Amino acid sequence: MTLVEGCSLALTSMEGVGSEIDLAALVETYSPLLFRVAHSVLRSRAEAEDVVQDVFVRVLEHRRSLTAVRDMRVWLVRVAWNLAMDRRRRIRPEQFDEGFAESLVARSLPADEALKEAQRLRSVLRELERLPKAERDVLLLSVLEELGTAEMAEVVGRSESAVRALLFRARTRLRERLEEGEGR
Amino acid sequence: MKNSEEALEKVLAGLRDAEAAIGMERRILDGLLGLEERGAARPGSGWRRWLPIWMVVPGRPVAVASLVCGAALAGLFAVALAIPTIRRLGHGLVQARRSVTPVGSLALGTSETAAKSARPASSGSGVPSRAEIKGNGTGKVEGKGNVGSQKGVLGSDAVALEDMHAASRPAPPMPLTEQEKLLLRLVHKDAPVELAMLGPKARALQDLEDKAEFQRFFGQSMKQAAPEQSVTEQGVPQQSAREQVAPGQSDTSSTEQAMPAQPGTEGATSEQPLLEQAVPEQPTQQPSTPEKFAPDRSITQQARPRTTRTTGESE
Repeated sequence: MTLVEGCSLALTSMEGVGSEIDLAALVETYSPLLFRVAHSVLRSRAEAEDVVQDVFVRVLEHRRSLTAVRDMRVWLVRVAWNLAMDRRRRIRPEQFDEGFAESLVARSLPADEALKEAQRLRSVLRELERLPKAERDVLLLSVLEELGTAEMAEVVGRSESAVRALLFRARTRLRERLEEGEGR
Repeated sequence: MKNSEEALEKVLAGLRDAEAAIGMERRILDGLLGLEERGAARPGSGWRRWLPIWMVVPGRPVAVASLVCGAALAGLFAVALAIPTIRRLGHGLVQARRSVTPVGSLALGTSETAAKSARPASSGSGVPSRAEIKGNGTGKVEGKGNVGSQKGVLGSDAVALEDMHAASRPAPPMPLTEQEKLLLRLVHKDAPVELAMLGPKARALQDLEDKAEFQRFFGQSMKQAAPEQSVTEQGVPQQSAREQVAPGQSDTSSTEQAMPAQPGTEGATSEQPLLEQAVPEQPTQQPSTPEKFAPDRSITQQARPRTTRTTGESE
């Protein structure tokens, strides 16, 4: 809620000043969201931070045409998503899975149980990567719980119903595969 | 089933709750401020920041780009025009170098021009010269190597065909060797005089002159050597012997051997005296017929003073 208020404030300030952009306010308001978007795709903190910086560099480059942007939040998420996808072609997120899975394991667990837990989380991430691209994208955007169906549809360039269907299929497929893997 | 659900929820929650490192906003802002300062120093963005400033000025890029494209096209056109000229020049240089190459070298670089220049000289004698032959040969090789010089190849082929169809002529006479030249000079020395001596009148006249000279010489010597009896005793039989030989003129061998140094006086045969002139007398000829020359010993003794007389006359 506070984030949404911050966004609206930033947008209000942009409209009031006209072509002038309060870049510091934009960074303060949107960088955590953009970081999570990039991190869900890349699963690396350093890479996600670089993506966020690139997003604001784009803002600087297009500052003269930013007044035509209808929804600054969605526009920034879309830019971050596309930049993260471009970077994903150069790096393999699987190489960061081990560190990410270990960071998710509770530190209170014994070593052997922590190892098993990390392996299970890695298998989930592996199955997530095996999903079809559209389903995976919608699932990752929905995980953030900050974007509505319409916003997700705008980011991925599909209709809202398609996004809903993709999201349903993605969850179902992932669950089935994980159960199959556990049964083996 | 429960484990997989839990694991999936855990992963999705981890993705959702991922937090940036502390101070990320500050770092991003610092980076953006630095970038903005650099952008203020250099106008333009993206790839334009790497362009020179005169190309980034608003309103100019289109004109500048068109200028650059035009210059590039003009350069390409100029290069395309220059390539054939450069090739022609290079071919001409190669031909010039080949024509300068010495005859004995392996390159055999005489070109068609060299063959043509050599042709008039050889046409005078009717025999193709070496330069012409080599020129024709290299012209063919050159034609194989360079496709562009077909004219030169045709010209050299025409010259070769003309030479091939020309009427054959005998080779020029070989020049005389040094020995032959020397022999000719010796044989033809005083040739008219020797031929004239073949006549009997001239020969008789010469004999008379010889006799008169002989008499004159021995007459003087007898007067000078009058006190010396021995000399007078020798001089009388010499004179008688000479007188005995001269009227008959048959004993040519004795006269020839007595006076070998006079080329004009001896000439019974035409060739023998000439050879005697060419080759110096061999001292072994005199003792070859000792019984024949035994009675004429006095004649040989008389011959020696004659040589001294000639030297005295020459002095």
